[in-house]
Amino acid sequence: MIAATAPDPATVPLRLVQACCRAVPVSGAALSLMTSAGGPGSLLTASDRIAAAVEELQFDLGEGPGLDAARGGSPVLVADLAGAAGHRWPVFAATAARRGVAAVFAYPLRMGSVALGVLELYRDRAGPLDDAGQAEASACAVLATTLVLQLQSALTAAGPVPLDAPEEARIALADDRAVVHQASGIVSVSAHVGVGQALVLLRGRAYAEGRALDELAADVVTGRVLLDGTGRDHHDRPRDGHGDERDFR
Amino acid sequence: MNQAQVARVFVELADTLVDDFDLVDFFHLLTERCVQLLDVTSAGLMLSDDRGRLQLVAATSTLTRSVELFELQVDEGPCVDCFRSGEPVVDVDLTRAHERWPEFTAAANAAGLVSTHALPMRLRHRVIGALNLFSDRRPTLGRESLELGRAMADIATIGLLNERYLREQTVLAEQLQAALDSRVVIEQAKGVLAARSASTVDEAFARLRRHARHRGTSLTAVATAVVHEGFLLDDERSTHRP
Repeated sequence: MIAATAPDPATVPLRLVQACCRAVPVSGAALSLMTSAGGPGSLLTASDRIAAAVEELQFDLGEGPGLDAARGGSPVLVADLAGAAGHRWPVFAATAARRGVAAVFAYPLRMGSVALGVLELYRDRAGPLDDAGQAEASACAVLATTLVLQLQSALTAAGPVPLDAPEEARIALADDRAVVHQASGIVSVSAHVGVGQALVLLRGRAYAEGRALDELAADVVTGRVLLDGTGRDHHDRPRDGHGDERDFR
Repeated sequence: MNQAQVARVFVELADTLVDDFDLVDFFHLLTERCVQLLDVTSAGLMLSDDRGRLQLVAATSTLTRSVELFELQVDEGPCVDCFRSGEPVVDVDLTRAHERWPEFTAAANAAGLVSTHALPMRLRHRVIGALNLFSDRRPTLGRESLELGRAMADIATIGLLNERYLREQTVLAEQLQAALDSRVVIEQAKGVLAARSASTVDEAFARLRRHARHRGTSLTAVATAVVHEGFLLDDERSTHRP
């Protein structure tokens, strides 16, 4: 087994998605973890940049087969993204297709009632997974769930890990999108909305300007961009001196 | 009982181990299938608790006093003997067992039972419980039923292990997700604080830590209150005094 012989635990997730690509087979695979709110959380690992982009795109847009699979608890298999099935996520389908993604197969990672995340496979040519491919993919999803929980178990082996644990005591993520979450906090204040709605505003603004969400978020955090929810762009303005004095409750 | 029936029961039990597993339902199903497959009158499953005492966890109820009979065996009876020795205790003739287990035998006779059998649930070198069978007709279990009975006891053990595993894994899953949630809310709180006071996110993080340390609460708890409940840090309250 991969896990039993891995010399470096940090490389095991990557080796798992690489093995998955060979086994199913598919062009690329990515593992991501979700928060309890059911929103896309973080990329754990990806076999190539396109697989990582498939995951990132869904985080940027807030729509996609991976999200549906994780929330719904069943695999979402899209043999032809350019076909009718892709109409469920029109922006995702069009953007992913431009990056060379023709088919996407998303398998949820679940343990009991906890929706942990999703294993997303993509192919550069359209076509369904045959029975053997589906069996392999399902097995990879089970393996991925076990692996992720093993990583968590290894963290807790030395004793209970407090929620505020430092970086080294947490599962290493390829991308935890800290800057996007920070920007959500900032926009929640400037636009007087909750953080969930703030993320929606950020996504909308990024899409309208044809920018990556991460980039826009970085500008919001440095103060180059201010979103007040009115739809008017404010660029390169220094942040106001005093915070809003309104009672937030 | 025929091969096909046996095979069907085993597949059925294996299937329940996988989908939406409920341990108590599983044990009840297992005892019922024991009665069908082993040609006995009733079956009961006993597990040992932390202190090594047997507890009845599931039983068929074809006999009006079968539960009581199982329960009585917590202190004395073939089931306890089986549990302590780790070996099957079968073909116990209830017409001649008064000297060994007086109270239990009297009750069994009153219920019209003629024989009883106890099969150990073993986990490597430990005995974790026992499968208890009664018959009101047959004095002996028979070789085939004995073998099948031992297999059913093994399946019961597997079910228990499965449940423990699932429970542990679910706890890990919840911990993992809580850690993810915490990272998100802390970043969000940095943004909220930075915007409220026109500072950088790094400065905001320092203030968040300071508040949490000063108050003896977790960073995650403070961050959650800041983001979702409009909570003001101590240093914000002083500047917001009306």
